[in-house]
Amino acid sequence: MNKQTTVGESRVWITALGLALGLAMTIIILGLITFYGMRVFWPKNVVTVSVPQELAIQDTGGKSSNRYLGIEMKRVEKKVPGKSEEKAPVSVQFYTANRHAYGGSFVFVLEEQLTIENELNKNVMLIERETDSRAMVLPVKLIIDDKEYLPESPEFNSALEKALDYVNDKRDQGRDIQDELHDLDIELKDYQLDLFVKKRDGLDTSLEEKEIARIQKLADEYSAAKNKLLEEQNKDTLVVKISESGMSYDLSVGNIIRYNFPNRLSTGGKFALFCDNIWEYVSSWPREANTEGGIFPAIIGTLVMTLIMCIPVTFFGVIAAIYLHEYAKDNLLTRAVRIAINNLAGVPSIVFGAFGLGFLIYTVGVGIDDFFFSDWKAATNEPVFGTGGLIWASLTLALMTLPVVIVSTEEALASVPNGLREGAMGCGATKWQSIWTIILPSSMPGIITGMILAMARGAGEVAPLMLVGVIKVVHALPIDMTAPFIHLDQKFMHLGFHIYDLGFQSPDSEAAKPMVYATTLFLILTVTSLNLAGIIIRQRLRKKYATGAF
Amino acid sequence: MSDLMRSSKKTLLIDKFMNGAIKFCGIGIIAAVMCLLLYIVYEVYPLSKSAKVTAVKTLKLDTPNILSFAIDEWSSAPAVINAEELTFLKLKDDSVSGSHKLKDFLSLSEGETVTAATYNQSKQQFIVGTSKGNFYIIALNFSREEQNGEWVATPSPEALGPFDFGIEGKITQISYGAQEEQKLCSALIEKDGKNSTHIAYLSQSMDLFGNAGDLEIEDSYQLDYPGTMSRLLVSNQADRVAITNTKGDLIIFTCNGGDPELVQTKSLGESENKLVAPILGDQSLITIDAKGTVAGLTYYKENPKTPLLFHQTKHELESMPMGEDFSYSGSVRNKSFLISSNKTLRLYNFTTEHKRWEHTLENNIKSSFISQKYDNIFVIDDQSVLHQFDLNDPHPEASWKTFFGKIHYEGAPEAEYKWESTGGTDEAEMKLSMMPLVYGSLKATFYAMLFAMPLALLAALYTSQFLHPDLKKIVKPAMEIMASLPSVIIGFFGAIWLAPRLEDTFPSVIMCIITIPLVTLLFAKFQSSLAHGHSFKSRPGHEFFWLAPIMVIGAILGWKMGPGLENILFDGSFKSWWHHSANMKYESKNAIVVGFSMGFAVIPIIFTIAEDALSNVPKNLTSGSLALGASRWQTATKVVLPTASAGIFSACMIGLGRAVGETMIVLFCCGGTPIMEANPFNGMRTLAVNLATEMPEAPKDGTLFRALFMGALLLFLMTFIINTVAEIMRQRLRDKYKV
Repeated sequence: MNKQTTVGESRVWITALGLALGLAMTIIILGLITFYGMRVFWPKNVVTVSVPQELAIQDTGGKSSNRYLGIEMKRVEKKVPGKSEEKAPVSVQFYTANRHAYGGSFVFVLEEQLTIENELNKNVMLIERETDSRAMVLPVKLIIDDKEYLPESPEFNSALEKALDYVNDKRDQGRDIQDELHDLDIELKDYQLDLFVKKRDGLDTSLEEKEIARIQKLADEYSAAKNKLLEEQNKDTLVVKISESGMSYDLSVGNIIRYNFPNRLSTGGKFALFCDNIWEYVSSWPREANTEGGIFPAIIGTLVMTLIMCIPVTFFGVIAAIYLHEYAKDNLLTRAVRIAINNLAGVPSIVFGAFGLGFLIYTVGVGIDDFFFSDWKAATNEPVFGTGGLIWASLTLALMTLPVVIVSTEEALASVPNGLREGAMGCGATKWQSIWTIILPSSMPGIITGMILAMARGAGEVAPLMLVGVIKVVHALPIDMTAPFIHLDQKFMHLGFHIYDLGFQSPDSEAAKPMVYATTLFLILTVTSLNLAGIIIRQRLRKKYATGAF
Repeated sequence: MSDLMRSSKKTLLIDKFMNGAIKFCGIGIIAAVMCLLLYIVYEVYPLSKSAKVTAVKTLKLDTPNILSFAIDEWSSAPAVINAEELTFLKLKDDSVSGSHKLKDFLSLSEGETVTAATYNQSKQQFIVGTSKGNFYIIALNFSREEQNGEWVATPSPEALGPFDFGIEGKITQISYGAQEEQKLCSALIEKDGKNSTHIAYLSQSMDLFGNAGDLEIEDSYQLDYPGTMSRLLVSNQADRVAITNTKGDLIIFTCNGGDPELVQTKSLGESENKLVAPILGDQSLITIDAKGTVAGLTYYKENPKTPLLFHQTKHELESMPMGEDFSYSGSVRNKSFLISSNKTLRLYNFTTEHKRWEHTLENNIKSSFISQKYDNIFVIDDQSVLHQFDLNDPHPEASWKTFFGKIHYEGAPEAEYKWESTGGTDEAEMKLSMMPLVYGSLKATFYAMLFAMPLALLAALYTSQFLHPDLKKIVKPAMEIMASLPSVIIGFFGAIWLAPRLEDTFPSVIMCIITIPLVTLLFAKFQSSLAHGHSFKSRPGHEFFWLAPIMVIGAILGWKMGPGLENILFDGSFKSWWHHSANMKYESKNAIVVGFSMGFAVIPIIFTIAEDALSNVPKNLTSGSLALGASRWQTATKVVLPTASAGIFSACMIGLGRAVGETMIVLFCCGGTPIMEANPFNGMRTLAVNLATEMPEAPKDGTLFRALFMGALLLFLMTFIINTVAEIMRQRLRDKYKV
């Protein structure tokens, strides 16, 4: 074999290492996030931990227990500085839930100091509540209409189920009333605005006052009905204790959202609960400052924002690309414009955020308020468009992702063979006819790719949104059934900001961590699937128009 | 036929319209995009403007020899005081709204006249001294009410006193400072041709319901110091007296309720100081001597063990023309001050030493005054003419030096670059230097590139030159997936997962960086020693499959050797070693973590563009090289790399541009303190992070808001330049190898 051809073979291996490391990084980050994200939903066994008396934990009921319930979360080596050769003591973190009783949701115990009992307590219940964090308790008795059920009794489960059905029924009714109240509130605000305007102009206001009085009376009636419902909802009580020797307290059944007996689950049951947990996370509203509950409004917020962004970005992006490719002559100016657009793709996203805040909100938004909503502003002292909102966030991101669509569409336009254009012209089509009937349809996949890539970029971007309308918690979705259905002036929740807020600014960051991993998983799924779709379409396209110059 | 014609007309019309519309929209969009830059510049531009001052009116006053001047918060009702009377004016119609004969108003005794008066702007009180050594406090008590649809300020003056220093003589100078509880008055008293300086503590008793009782003298002392006094100043906090003497010394007494204590005597030059005046916040003084030399002094501790002393910190204040009449007024809104010497009037900002405005009057200036809201300037000349100027200076703190220069801030022992937009109090200086932020951005970028560039370029070279074409179809999308990871996820991952692990196992990571390439090299040697057809021999283009186990082996080896290395080199703990031996801080969120995390964002960008550039090198070049007998490595490095070098350079530039402007990753991993240290284990704050954290709270059109836009502009320009260079390189390359 010729020695010449092998020169530098080992260095080739080093370059291969670069690629392997790069791919490994991708796989590692995706894998870890999938692992951590999925783990959050998988039901785990609740163990009984016993520790020496001096490590017993005090609860707010004044009892101290050295045997308590917990879910093992992780083990960490506690390194002592300067003694790395010695075996570091291992500390185990347990999730104890019951934050209101223990003052925290987690405890750390040194491995050598604890014993985990082999036998699992089958009676342990994990309860998600409307208010307060999760409870991990042993049921003592269930009191329904003065009738008591002990957990050992066979009717216990069915009685609890029945009580919960009743509660859910009441909860639904309560929600309906809440919706009615919401509508009333909107109506009330309208009348108050009219009242303000008429008062200012010195007109007769008796009609408005009458209407306002009527609405307020109605609202009071609804509130009373709601309170009554709430009372009915809370009529049953579940007496529980937080551990064998810990405090016991009355848990209102009306407060329970979901419950399960983690130690009674078979693998199949666990899997069912796992799926249920994921569904619950996706479909429910957040509770307890986002540390409990789900991310439903964040998903909707991200979706609506991305879709609204999509409309202007595709429209204007395609027009700009058509102009650049079909109309503009290839001169220095066009070249400079192209450089500028490519450049725009490289401008940091936060700069767009600053632009959105300074120009769109403070200049355009405040201008709109002054022009169209001056009465409203004077009456309520609240801005409408003069503050962060869905429309501004969408427009900011649209501007940011514009280059993506322009570049991608231009690529697609370039890949349409010139023969088609000349053919259309030859048949007597006007320029617009040939664009509309021939060129645009054949470059559609490219345009869609650009759109999808823009959506992916937009959905994953957080930095500019922090300045133009994303908020921690919302009480209403940006789309609903009251006119105008899509509320462009409303602030909204966003998956990416949810991650930032929980992971970075949450007061109980340890409790929030699993939630963040779960949200991260959903965001990655959204963005990656969008991107994969874009990439695959583009690759197909390239194959189809392989003659096109790239 | 006619039918056909009509439809064709319609078509033509549509065509014409659409052509016009597309051209219009296309150019419009491109122009709109360019507007982004224009808007940012538009937001930043006002920072470069000086104060805009316009003369409003002049008003001849009937009061001769004015001792002091005051005005209400809304600049509508000035008050002047001279030896005989206190006169209130109404600026709206230039009328006198009220006049009080001081003799009756203060019920002075026979032969007693007012000889000295000063105005305390923060308390809105005159303090006047008489020829018999008594002094009075006249509270002006402006109130504002609506009269016939107009807001009118009306004074209801109230005199407190008399108080005395326990010595009968003529008060020639008086100064007064008041806090909630402590009040301090100091005066120069002339008796029998001899001058002496006295201070008096005043106190106000409170009853059970918090109503203020009578003001009483608590104690009075005489001050002893070398030389003859020239000027006197009591600090607003009522705890310090500053005196300048005729020999050019500045003498500081502290007065904390008891015997005043002389703490500092500082020589400011040879000539007599004509003026000593405070800057808002009481930490700084301005002095002017007879030659017109202006000195700015600030008190600070040179090091933690020395006492608080005044030092000259401002050296660039221009000298005033020599003169006899000096006047001074400090703003109570910001650190600006107005000084005059004879006919020259200047407005300065103390922090930046920047001259905001200068004006020359026809007559000598007796007293000058900045209104409380920093929106008017009043000047009284020696002909008793009151000049009113409208002052429009929204950004007094702004100057070139504010953003890019070293400034000696109050309380700091030396001049420095610093970003600190919110001080502890309203009186604190805004520190808006861009330098720490630019430094932070560059530091983060440097570590990101250090990590990302070699990896990405190696991967690009391998993928384009050596990898089997079938595998390329999988590898490129995989890297694109990495590019699409939202930065908030990478940031979160870096901060929550990577940072704590790196903190504990840094030596292991270092060992991995060494062992993985080593093991790979060893394996490569083993491979090349194998004959073709051997079952362990890798086929060309498939090397990187073999690397999976090799990498794992290398990583495990490095990981296991890490603690050993830590014991041998770093005394068992790298963290404490770094802390003690290198004497630098170790923070868990540091530049290394930022660099690693940002690598995830930058690697795929560099990789994709560099790979494109390398793949586009014409096949005939590589084929020629291989045909002449060069190995594939030789072809790659000697033929392909030089040809594609411009493209590789542009790839790196684009990666650099992305790293400079990255926000979320850095926000999570950088810690956020704007410090300028080269220590890789320290945090920083970048321009982008600064925008993200401070923008939502910055009041619109304030100095901070515009300063943040200045940060945005810097970011924009940095990335714009980087990207343009890269783009031009790329276009040139594309043209060069166009078939």
